[in-house]
Amino acid sequence: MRERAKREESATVASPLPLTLFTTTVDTHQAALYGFLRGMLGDDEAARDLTQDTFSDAWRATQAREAPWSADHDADERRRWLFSIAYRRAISHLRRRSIIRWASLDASADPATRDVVYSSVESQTPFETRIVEAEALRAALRRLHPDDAACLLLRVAQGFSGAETATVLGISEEAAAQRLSRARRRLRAIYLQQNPSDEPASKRSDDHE
Amino acid sequence: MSEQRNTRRILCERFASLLAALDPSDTNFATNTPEMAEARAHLVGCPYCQANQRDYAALDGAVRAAFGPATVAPFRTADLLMAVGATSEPQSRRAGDPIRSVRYLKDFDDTEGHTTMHDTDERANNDTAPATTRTPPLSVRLPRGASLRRQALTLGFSATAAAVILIVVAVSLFGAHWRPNVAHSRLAHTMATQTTSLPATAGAGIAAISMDSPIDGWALGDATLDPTVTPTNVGVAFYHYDGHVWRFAQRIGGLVIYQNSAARIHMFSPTDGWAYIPSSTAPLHYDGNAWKPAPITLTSAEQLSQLVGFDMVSPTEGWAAAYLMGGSAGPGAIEFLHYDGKKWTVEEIPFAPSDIDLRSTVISGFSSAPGVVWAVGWATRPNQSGDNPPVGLLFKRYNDSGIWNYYQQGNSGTGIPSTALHDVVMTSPSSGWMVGETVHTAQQSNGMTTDTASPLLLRYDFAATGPRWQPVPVHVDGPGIFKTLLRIEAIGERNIWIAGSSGSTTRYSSMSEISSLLLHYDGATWTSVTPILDTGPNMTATITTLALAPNGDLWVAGQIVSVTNTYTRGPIQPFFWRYHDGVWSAATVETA
Repeated sequence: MRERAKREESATVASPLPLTLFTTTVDTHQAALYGFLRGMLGDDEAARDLTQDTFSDAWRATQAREAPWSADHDADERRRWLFSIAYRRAISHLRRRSIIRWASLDASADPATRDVVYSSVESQTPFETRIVEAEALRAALRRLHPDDAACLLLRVAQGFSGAETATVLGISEEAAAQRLSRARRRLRAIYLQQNPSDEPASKRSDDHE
Repeated sequence: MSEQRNTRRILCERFASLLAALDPSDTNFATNTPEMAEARAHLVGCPYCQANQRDYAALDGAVRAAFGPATVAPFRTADLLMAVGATSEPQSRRAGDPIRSVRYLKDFDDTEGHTTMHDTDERANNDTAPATTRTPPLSVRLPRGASLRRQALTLGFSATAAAVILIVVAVSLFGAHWRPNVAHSRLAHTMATQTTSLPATAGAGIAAISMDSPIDGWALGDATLDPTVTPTNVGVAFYHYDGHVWRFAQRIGGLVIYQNSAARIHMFSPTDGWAYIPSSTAPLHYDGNAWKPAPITLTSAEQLSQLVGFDMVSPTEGWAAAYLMGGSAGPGAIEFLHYDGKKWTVEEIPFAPSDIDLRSTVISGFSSAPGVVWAVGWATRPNQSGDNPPVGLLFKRYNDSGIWNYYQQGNSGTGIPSTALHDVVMTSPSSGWMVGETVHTAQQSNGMTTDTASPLLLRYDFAATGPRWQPVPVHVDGPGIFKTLLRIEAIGERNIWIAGSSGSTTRYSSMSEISSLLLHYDGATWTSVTPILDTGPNMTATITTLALAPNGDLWVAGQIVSVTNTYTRGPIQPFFWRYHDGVWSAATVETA
């Protein structure tokens, strides 16, 4: 309640955000936002669209002097806001397209990436050396639940803290930690399932043998 | 014994989910609970869980490289601002004038904007030049995506940017965890090597060249296949000079050169050479038969995530700068790497100024002299006005102590000229030269800013001026407004050459908007030099790199393209010009 009152108050007395600051925000965050959306959607073109849409939302909020798009708020708040909007737009986009998909691992359907994905399947290289397959990683990431994927991308790829991640996703810190844990374990499992010749470091450890 | 194993296994299962959420860099994130403390204690003594953590760390690194902040921006900021309605005018862009092959004049009376870098641990307090600026030079930075989906613009920049996004990701991932004994065979699959002929549709600009003798040399260039730019279409090409012709020798797919000035090739003999593709994860080595990746394996716990600089200064001395992860490396840690001919070791970079965006770091030049090593580069410095000006980075290593010193130009406040440093050459421990540019920003009426740059040349002459880098005034005439010096090569004190460029726009320039700069120092005076070569009607030649052969011959290389207007251009062709005994000649190039 107090937060809401604070927001309302700030909306009435907020100082306009200078264009230069908005420009800075765009310049600073568009690459990261795009990377996050690529990870969420697995579709570069859609990621570009939603990046643009997210900044359109931000500009509308700036014109309306809505928090945190006024000079009274700091850059970190605006960053969280952007990722929060991007996350919601991504979820909405996935639902609309009915592709909250548990994507097939048969990436060979895409001949353009087949070599990249599977070119070294025969080699008996260790796990660490094999996750370099970019397309395989993207395919594995698409098999995560979008909420888990979002958590992983925010924490690991974007460097948000646990508390910030929780704020962006609108969940508790504990839930964010659970999602991160689930995402990491599942991503590893999917990757190994997808690349059965890989040998995880844990298998190489003979401590349990 | 078996009971012990079972007990440990139970603990492993109990802590599995906790450990999967563990982030060593975040001490406030559910890590201080008693159970987490217990899990940490278990981790210390459990190789199985430690191995699991390594798996997670490897995956984290891959995710970070693929989807993290290093991702190339999809749009030009100005275009995006216009698309969302924040501005009504695109950022100022000038149509490229048809340019001559090379144009520059000599006049060294302009000292504006230069600063001094003192060889002390204190920052220089030079306030003689204009304030902050924005981006690094157009000629060394790939344009961010040049089109919005509703505003297809020009020149296929978006395709290039998309390719770079994918390739930077792929390159970041490829080899991030390679081990030497397996990497080559693996790479043979993932990076297709072609040795028959360079496809006719391939781009063919030259980024780096090196001569190990007057009749033997190698060059490195772009070999991205047009028109469909995909991860499988990008590639780099190696050309070999046999004393008569430059001949395409090998194409390696899956790599892309998006920053000519940071690309390196260094030949020490006809059967020993090294090459570096900026932002890749492994240098390439030539063994007399073929160019192959030579992954850097560290002896410490850290793992290499991505190179931001690399050069071999001798067969047994190599230097690199790289993002590391794992071990004691903090998030986004950049450190120097040293190769002694046998192994690579990590050396701490003594800089972490809070006002510099480390993600933008480029270490573009290393030079070694007895007892010392110098390294130069640049990063961006975000500021309140959104200019993100470049800031030159200068490092010196005293070999007796093995410690690097960092010299930052100026302070982070206003009134300090912004610079980017691109190359350094030491002719002795007490004498050297350094090149780059000084960037200036002007505010436009629409609130946007425009960058201009003047060439920056710095001299280290201990006998004359003591331990400091002193600016040498350079004024280069011509219509370009973004003039920069990119490469410097020297044989002794009296045969030094610099290559640079002059852009007619401030950023995101197309090639037709860039002309070349070439300067020579004879031990007393710098003069500009114009290669007198006929490139043909409507053909534009842009020098991108140079090299000196041991006999003093100068080779310059770059790309020739036919340009009929700003947006129409023919295929890119490589060129190699030699300057021998005062005479320029063009070498024959065979790509098939």
